[in-house]
Amino acid sequence: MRIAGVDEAGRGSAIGPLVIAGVLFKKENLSILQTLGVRDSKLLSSSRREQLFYEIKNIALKSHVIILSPLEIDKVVNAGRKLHKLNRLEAQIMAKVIEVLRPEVAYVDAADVLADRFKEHIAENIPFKVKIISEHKADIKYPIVSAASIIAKVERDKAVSELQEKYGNLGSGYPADQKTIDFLKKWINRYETYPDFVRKSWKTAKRLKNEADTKQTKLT
Amino acid sequence: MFRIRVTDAMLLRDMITAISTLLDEATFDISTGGIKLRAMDPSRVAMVDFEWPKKIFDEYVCSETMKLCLNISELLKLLKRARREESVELSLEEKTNRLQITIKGKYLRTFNMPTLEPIEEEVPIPKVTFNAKAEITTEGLRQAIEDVSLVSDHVRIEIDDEKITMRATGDLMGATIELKKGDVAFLGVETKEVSIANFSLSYLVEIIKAAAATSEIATMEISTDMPIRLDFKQQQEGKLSFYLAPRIDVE
Repeated sequence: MRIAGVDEAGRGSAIGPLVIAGVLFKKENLSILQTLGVRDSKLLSSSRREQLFYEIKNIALKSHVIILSPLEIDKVVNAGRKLHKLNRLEAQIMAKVIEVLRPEVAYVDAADVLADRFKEHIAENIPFKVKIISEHKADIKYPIVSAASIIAKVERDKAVSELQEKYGNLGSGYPADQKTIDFLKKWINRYETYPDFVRKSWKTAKRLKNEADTKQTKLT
Repeated sequence: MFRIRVTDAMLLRDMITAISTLLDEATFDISTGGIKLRAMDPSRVAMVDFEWPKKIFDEYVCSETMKLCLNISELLKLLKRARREESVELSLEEKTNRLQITIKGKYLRTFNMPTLEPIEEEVPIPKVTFNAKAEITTEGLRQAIEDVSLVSDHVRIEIDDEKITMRATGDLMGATIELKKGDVAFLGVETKEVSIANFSLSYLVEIIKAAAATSEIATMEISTDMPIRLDFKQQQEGKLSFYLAPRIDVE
């Protein structure tokens, strides 16, 4: 039996893409994941994650990654209630990943507060029959979802570090990170509009832009 | 010849700290009557206007009018080594044009540092007609500014007939601080018209924190969307005032 796991990385970030990754395994090979020490990506160091990234890709039947740009995210978020729309988008993208992997069973980490609604939204976007198990914290409960979370996280980190190289220290990209705030603030004060790797629909980005709308005057 | 001495090192240290909030280098005007400094920060957003008559010093010797330009940050490093109850003497070594800093206390320390090429530019005081003026304790002002700085990096200051209101809006939190008649920190207000202006807290916090060490009473003057003037009352006819340009809405 072919089993898939799907997870995302970078959902809450104000900078960089949202990455959705899926991995496909033969059921009998699933135990290898545990032997490798695959766990939720948040519980692993970045170097360990990178190591596992290659090992997972080696033993998986298939893996697939979809990267959503800040622009695509802004488009849906601006179209309606933020989380609602983003959840729908995420479900559609996860459906695409599952479609590529063609599993018989797919485990997904539920992005919606209602795990079953999330499952419906995925299912209605897949043209073939597949059993979907949508649960909160699936990335901790199921090694196959942990594996997907590692792929997603490593891809997302790659994207962020490419931005770092180009634009300097922008922190993790998350609004709770002071470095990220400082980076956004500096940028908006200098250039007045955000670059395309920033999610302009994010509250933090909007607030900093608003603040920049008052201008420091000079004495002379 | 130029030589000054204070018996309490803190006096000089706090004054230099206040100036250092805006300037790394400062050109002092030195005359037989005392020391003056008026300068803008490099971004020309804020100005310090400082004056200490000779009687503030325990010893003041000046034979001629001169300009003395010093690296304030370096000088401050030395002054920070002095403790309360220690005396500090600054004197100009005329042959070398170096400033000698002598700290006397538990032991004797003598430092020297170069003087810099003075800046000749005369800085005029901003021409502002202030429509609202409030007097408050410097400590009260410091607390209020620290309160608003918890939520944002700029503040909207309003003065009407009976109070000062400071408002800030941040990402998550907002703050409204009122200082009004009857409050311990509030000493009085004079308004021709209600005035409101926005200011960057990064400047205000630094200025007020440093000035608070030198002064107990502050006067704040504003006009709508015009620079603010903060005057920190000094002992014995000294003067320490700051001007800060407002932030204004774009469009």
